[in-house]
Amino acid sequence: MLLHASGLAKTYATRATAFRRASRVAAVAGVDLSLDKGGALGVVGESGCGKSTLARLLLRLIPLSAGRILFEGRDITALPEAALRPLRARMQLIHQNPSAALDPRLSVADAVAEPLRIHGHDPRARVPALLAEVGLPGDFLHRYPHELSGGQKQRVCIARALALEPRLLILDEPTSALDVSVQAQVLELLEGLRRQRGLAYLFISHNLAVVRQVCEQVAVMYLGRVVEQGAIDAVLSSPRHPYTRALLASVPRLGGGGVVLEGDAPNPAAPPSGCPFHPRCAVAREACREGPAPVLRHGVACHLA
Amino acid sequence: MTPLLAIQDYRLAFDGFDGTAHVLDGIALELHAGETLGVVGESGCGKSVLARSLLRLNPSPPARVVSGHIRFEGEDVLAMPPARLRALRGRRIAMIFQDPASYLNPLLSIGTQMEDAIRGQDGATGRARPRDAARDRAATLLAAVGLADAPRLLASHPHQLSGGMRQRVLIAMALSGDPALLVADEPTTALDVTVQAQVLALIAGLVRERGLTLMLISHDLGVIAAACARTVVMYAGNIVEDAPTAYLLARPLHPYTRGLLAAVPELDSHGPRPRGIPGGIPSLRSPPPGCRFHPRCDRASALCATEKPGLRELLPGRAVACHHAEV
Repeated sequence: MLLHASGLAKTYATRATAFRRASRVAAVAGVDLSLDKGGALGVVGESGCGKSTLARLLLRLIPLSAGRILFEGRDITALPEAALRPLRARMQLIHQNPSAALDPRLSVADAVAEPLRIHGHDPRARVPALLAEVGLPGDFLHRYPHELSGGQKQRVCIARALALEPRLLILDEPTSALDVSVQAQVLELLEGLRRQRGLAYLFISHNLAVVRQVCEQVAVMYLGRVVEQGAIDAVLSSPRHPYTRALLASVPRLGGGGVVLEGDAPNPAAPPSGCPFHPRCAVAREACREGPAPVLRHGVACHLA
Repeated sequence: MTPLLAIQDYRLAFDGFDGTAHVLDGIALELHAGETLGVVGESGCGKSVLARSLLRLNPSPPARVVSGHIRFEGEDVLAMPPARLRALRGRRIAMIFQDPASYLNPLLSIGTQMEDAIRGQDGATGRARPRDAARDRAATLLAAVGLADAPRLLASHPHQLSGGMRQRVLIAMALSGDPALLVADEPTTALDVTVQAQVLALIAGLVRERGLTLMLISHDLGVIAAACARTVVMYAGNIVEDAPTAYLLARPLHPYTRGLLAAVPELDSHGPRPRGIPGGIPSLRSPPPGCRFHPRCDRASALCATEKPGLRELLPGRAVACHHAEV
């Protein structure tokens, strides 16, 4: 097992101001997940469900409120920053917006060389090979971000993430800012890299169809919790949680049709009692409104599944 | 029957310090009352610029009309004096945009903004109604877009509403002038998928009930398929295909439309894997000669590199701009 997390939680406390009471927002509320070497797990959910916070927790970029993280069998939950640094080379993050992730003053060559320099490697030999691996010809070496298209910038970010030979890539909406014809190219690239390098992906997206292309496993998040988890084909063909069903039905398809889920996602600072999904759920009963939130059992967190 | 909207040979350029971008390159389009038209294309294809052209919203400079006419209800929008244009905007053609938050004033209540919109519409053609009458009208409009509890909403400020509610408010404001044509530019792109489905259902319902003509701009063919009976596909400032949506999806005739469809990842696990289109969109400052798609096209011939294909009608209602397209 490459990555194993249990009981992960992140609670933000907001201070009272003249306009607002103090509140506590549970961005991630008790998530368990594991990822095998070379595996690919998709995390899907709508904005505010906690999927990006989850990514940052797993990388220990923000302090945990609770939970435990094992990476390559080693407990990294409380590892001090200095001991964490060599491990950072083995787990890399790719962001949604490649324009913001690249320094506009660094050429492509310098951007890809930067992590190698920081970790004490000689970049000269490696940089051209890395660019070739992500499908950028050698004449890109001396270009700057403003001369690149969105897809090319994301390729540079991928090359930069691969420079230190990671085992795990956490991809946070890596193709959401790209046009669909370019998205398909980048997804193809990611699939190829995973095969050739035996990489593991934690792939965060709001788009189930994109996740289906890259991942074998999927976790569906709602309001900081995983509400359904399982093999992607099984979840897509026979979703068991009412939220997963609604999410699937909401995707506009070329064939048309679909059910409309009522309402908006609730405010995480004042989550509903009981099952957090019950106010929007078509099949909710009394038991869903009261009592504790359902926990994930056999891949689904629903009292009625 | 004269079309509601008729665009002929419309060319628009943007003048910049580093050259002129030929953003729209001879657009021809007719839209009849009651039609629902989707405009699909990737970033930079000119779809939003085209939509904004209908209301002359592209700031000039840098925008410069090179040639063409845009006739709405028989009158050329490009030649309208300012007073006529004010009466057109919002009253005959209303528009909603991608990011509802940036079209609402964060400092004013929803009620004040809606009253202003309603009274502004009145003022363009006559006398503005009093504030309390405008407020009643605002409440009626909010109910029409599925927002209950109008008194509370009218008193609230934009930050107190969710993204979906803000977009509903903007749709209500767009309806305030009883427009004939609703132009929606990526109205659901900033919304989550479940809320997107709600807003699309709302737009489709309003179009049906009020007999609106709809022009929906989107990069997402799925969104267009959900709301539009007819679709035009744009690429690098040109309309490359124009067809009933069902036919376009079932049997695209232009190589770019085929590529676009093949790139969409599908949820159903049996379809083929999505494929990208090689290369990227061309620079509009120095677009490729001939067909602007030819450098990325697998069917391209010598002719494509020299001669620009015009939009020709291959079947009734199905037009395509490709030298090699056949039925």
